[in-house]
Amino acid sequence: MIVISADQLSKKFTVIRREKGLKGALSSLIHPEKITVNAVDNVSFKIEKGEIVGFIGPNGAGKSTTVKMMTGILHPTSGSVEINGLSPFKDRKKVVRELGVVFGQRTQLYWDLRLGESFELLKRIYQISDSMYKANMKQMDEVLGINEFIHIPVRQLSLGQRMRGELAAAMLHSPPVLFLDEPTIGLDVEGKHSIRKFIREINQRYGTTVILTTHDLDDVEQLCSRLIVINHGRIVEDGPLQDIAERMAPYRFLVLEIASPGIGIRHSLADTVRQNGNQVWLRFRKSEISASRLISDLCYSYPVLDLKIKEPDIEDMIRELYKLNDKTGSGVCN
Amino acid sequence: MGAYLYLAKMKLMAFLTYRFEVITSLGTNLIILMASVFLWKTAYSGTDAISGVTESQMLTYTIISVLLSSFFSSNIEHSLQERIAQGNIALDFLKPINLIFAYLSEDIGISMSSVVSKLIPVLIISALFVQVPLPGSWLSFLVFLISSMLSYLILWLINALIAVLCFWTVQLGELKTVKDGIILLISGKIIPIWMFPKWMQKVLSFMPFQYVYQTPLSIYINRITRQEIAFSLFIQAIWVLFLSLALIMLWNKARKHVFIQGG
Repeated sequence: MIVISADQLSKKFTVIRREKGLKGALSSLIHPEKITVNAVDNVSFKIEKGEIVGFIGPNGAGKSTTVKMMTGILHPTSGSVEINGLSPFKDRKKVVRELGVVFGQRTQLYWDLRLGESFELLKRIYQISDSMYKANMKQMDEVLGINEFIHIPVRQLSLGQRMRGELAAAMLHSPPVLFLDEPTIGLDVEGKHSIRKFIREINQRYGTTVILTTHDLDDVEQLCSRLIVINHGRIVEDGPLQDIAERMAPYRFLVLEIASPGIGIRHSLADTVRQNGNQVWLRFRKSEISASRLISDLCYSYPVLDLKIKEPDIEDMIRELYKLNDKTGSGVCN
Repeated sequence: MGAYLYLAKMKLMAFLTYRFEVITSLGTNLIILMASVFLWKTAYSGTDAISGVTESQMLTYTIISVLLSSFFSSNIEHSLQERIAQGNIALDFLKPINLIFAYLSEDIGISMSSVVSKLIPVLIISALFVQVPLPGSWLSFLVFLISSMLSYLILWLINALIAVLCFWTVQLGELKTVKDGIILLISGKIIPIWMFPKWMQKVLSFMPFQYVYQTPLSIYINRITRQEIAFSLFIQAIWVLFLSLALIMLWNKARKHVFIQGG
């Protein structure tokens, strides 16, 4: 079942170009030079129920703008987006009832009041019944340990506690769709771990569809079944992480330690890329030969002492992907 | 409905935690009260009545005006400007509630906190040192309450209309100061409009401002006839309706203009 569909979604912003110095400030006051920026440019995708989709891209790529159009905050310049067949902009109240949203850099909790007050307000906003509220709060406590700090004013919470509070607030009305905009930003290892555990758990238990934007590739590796890479407002990759990795970085490396340095190692389906002393690096394609086959072949013919397999580094791959796209055009036009 | 009530309650709770704010604004209100009282005492020295209003009626008018203004403090311009400037307006759009009603509820919550922090202290002090501001009659007190509610809405809607401009301009600059100045001068907050030249009274009757302060205050001191009261309430209701429609139209236009600051 398709939950979210975006069709040729675009968002243009008009910004005023500021020249430098006092002279520039004066001239842009009298005759502002307006520039149109294509923040999001003809983006189309469909998201199925129960998917965990990661949106990644460099800063300013258009991820957050896309999320803001999906959630009905921003009005698209052209194209359309639908959640369960409804426009989140036109049917805002109906659509947002089905959404939970966390913006890692903003808070929807009441700063001056104890955390519990924010939950009480949300209970009324979403008209959650008493029994449902009780059950959900109990569950939030089990997974996120909310009760530890529910009586503390939000401004006195640590970032990790506040983030757990934000997630609980977003999920209190059990929405079928959850948007997370950089949910692990600034958190320590333990904090990231508990947030990821929570996301996996609600996805498995309730089939919640999760849309996640992040710069943390560990989030992507551990959570996302699918990755959408955005750069300069356009989708440059869309698919399971493994497929993208296969395409972008199809090679794996086998590093061997051999008994004596003089032996030349050869295999018909792998290239020897480096050999220094006892260490030999072989490059091979997953699609051409399996690691176990390669290892057994080599161990049969050569005196191998030790070995390890190196997977392509995701971070390198993503960096390549961003760079690749910088050459193909920029998002600014006059 | 529960959500809006709870919003008001939360604002009430939050504002009662700011004790310093309470003390300073109470001080400001008392200074305005005393300055106005001495102004009218001087103006009435040697005369019994000005425009058919006695000194005692005028002092009551002044005290109730200060009480009303402490209750009429609305925060919409400040809060909306801040939400837009920092981009937190994004979070508001994610709630399945009517945002205009939500902002109004928050402001009513703040006004309720003024009852405790300003209205009661000012009332006690003016009763002790000036006079007990009794209404013209019990009936005029009741009608005054109804008229004040309409006044509150008129003033809030004017403020909200100005606040919504932030969607285009981000900052309001001095617009709020200009508006506050206009209200101070031509709403009857300090000087009743009936003391203005006739032609000016005519012009001002087509503007919403005098229906904010002068109308409920005149009702309170029993200055106007029953017929005039009914007509004033009607005009107030018309303004509430007109300004509401204007706000809804402007709001819907603004919605398409939303630009979220700071990613």
